[in-house]
Amino acid sequence: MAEPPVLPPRPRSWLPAWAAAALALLYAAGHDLELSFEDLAYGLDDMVEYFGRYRAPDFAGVPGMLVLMMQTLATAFWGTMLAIVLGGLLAPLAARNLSPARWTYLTARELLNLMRAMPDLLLALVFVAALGLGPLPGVLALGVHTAGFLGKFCAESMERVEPGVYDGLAATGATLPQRIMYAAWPSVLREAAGYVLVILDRNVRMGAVLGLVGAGGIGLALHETLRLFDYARSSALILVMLVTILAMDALSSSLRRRLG
Amino acid sequence: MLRFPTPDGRPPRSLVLVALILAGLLIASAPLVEVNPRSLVGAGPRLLEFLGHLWVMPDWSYLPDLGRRMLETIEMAVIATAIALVLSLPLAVLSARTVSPHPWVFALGRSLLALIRALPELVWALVFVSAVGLGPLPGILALAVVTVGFMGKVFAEAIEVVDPRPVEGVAAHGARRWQVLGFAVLPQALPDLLGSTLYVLDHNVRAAAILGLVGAGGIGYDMVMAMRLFEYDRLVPIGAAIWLCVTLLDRASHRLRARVING
Amino acid sequence: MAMAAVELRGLSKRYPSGLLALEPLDLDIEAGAFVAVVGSSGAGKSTLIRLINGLESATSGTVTVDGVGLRAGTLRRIRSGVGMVFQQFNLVGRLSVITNVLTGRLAQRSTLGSLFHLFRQQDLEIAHAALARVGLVDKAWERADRLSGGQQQRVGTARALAQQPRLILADEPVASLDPVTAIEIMELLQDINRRDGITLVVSLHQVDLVRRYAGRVLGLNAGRLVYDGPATGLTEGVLRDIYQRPSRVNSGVEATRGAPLSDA
Repeated sequence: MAEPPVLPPRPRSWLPAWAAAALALLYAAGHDLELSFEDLAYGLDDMVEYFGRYRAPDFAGVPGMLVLMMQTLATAFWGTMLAIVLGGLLAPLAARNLSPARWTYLTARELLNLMRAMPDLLLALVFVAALGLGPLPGVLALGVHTAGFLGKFCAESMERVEPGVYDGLAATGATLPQRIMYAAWPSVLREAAGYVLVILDRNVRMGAVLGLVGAGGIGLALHETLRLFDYARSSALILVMLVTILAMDALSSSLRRRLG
Repeated sequence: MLRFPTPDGRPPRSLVLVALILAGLLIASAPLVEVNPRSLVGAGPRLLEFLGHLWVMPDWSYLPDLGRRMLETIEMAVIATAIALVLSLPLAVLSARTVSPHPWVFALGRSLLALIRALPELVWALVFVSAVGLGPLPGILALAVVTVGFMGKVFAEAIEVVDPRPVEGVAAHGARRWQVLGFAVLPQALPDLLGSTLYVLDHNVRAAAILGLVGAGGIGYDMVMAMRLFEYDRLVPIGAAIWLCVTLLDRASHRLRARVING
Repeated sequence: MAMAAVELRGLSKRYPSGLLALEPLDLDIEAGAFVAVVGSSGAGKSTLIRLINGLESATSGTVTVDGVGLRAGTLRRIRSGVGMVFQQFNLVGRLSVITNVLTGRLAQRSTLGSLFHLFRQQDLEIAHAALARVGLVDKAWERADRLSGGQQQRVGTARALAQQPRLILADEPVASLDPVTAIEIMELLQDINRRDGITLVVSLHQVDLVRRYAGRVLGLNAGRLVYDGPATGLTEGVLRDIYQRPSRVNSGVEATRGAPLSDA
């Protein structure tokens, strides 16, 4: 009987190398941050006890909390509207197949990236420093930051539209604004509406914490109650926040489903 | 006389409805947000004035500290993402309708994931700072918790839409439950996970930059302090450093994701 | 009018990759003609047609439509007088049929109102008439993407008609349609050509349709015009010239056409 054929040499897998590198990186990072497992282990015990302090929410101040939550929702709503206006204006310019010139395309795209990169809370800090305390800086911060996302998503949607649709409009002699309003936006409307809902959702979440920089909303109240070790009130606040955010989530999900 | 391209010449009904609702909501909520002609008109000049303050020479001596802080921020994000990755896998398995041991476990798991995901990272950070004190640890915990909520859901969904045929194939040969999991389900769901991980890492660096606001580590703290102390010569370097990091990471993850998708 | 509808002088197109899609071409198309452009895939039919209304930009040479030279400043004016029908119909699916037809009027109305989908009564009447001409008035308010292929192509034709053009270009208008529907569309185009006197330049790959509808035929092979004559002149030999894949070395033929040689 002949010998069975020899198996070809096993191909070298890079996976162990990648895994080892990742672990080494993590260890280095943890070391640099002076994290220790002992701290964490001891801390866990403490944490169980700590979270137990939240189990009896005090709903006495709920009306006031609801007002704050309404302010948060209003901030999120106005911020989203601002994002629609800013993002909507920039999106066609940031679409490679629509932008009138290469420099307008690059400028619009980089502007949108800039708006996206700055975390909105830090933007809110800046706006508060410039305009003073209140919800308006929050609206501006949310609007500018999420305009970056909305603009980018819509621009990418417009780039994905079949080029023939744009050709059809161009062949009639339509101007660029007309091509944008008849070929671009109608073709991406459904996707754009979905993006707006995602952004709205996110803005409600962020709006809740804008208060921490003085930009209105319920976050500041939580900061206060925690500072005063009032866990009962804190847990009530967190519950109010949770319920509102989940309700907005459910609303936007069902709206997105109806869009199909 | 201008008309719309509709049978009656008026704008389509659904459009009018949406416009009215939006306008109504905007007007109703305007006082809550303090949006009025006076505040808006004043905003422009004040913003410009503020921008004028930023037009100063950066504080070069601050740069090494800035670098350290940014590194801390990134490390927080990386560690939190890694922890979340490890924790979300078992949770995802429990929360996937197709492989969960019991429908109640599935329902509980999914609800838990939705709940922890709902609260913003900063709220979690507030809570953890209150629990373990200041520093990067509460920040890492806060990021990890929210990330588990997100990745758990994504991964559970990836498991649910796995092609059932290889699963049948492995199970038909008498494999035990965990073997089916390891050899048929997870290998299919894994590539999705990688793309989500990169997206989450990107998001977490941004989030980590903010957590310092409440003392949970990272560059956010420096930014608040610089603002409070009117140290405008630090604001621009901080802003630039954040922008640079986020942008670089964004491009890198974009390219990595493209490589992963194309095998 | 004695002036030609379309004049091409030294028109050529070379892609950045180096591919020569169309060799320098001199051509006159007289008003009211029904011209078919034929050739195998990649022969340059689409390129030639799209060069006429500027959807492709020429590497060299000029295009003159109704006495107006095609360049950046005159692009919109020329396009508004030139309708186009596409192989993939190129309608905006989400918009209604009537709105799609109305986009043919946009070049005449570059005002703010048009951006909000507002039109004058006059435009609506022109669009209505165009839809009636193609027999689709009853579908006016429906979404364009809910129509069949043949119906969508008729909407595309109505859009071109709404421009009240002197010239209609058609880039493989029936390639995506079944044979029966294809005939319907060709009949429609022929009717437009005969009754309204609109010049028609159509690229087709179905030779039987060419024989049946075209007056003049332009045959392209690998970017070179190898036939320019009546549809009746499409003999076996001519068809072979048009559709046969060219060999690598063509220098002999090029020399007789007088095209400039790069060396020797």
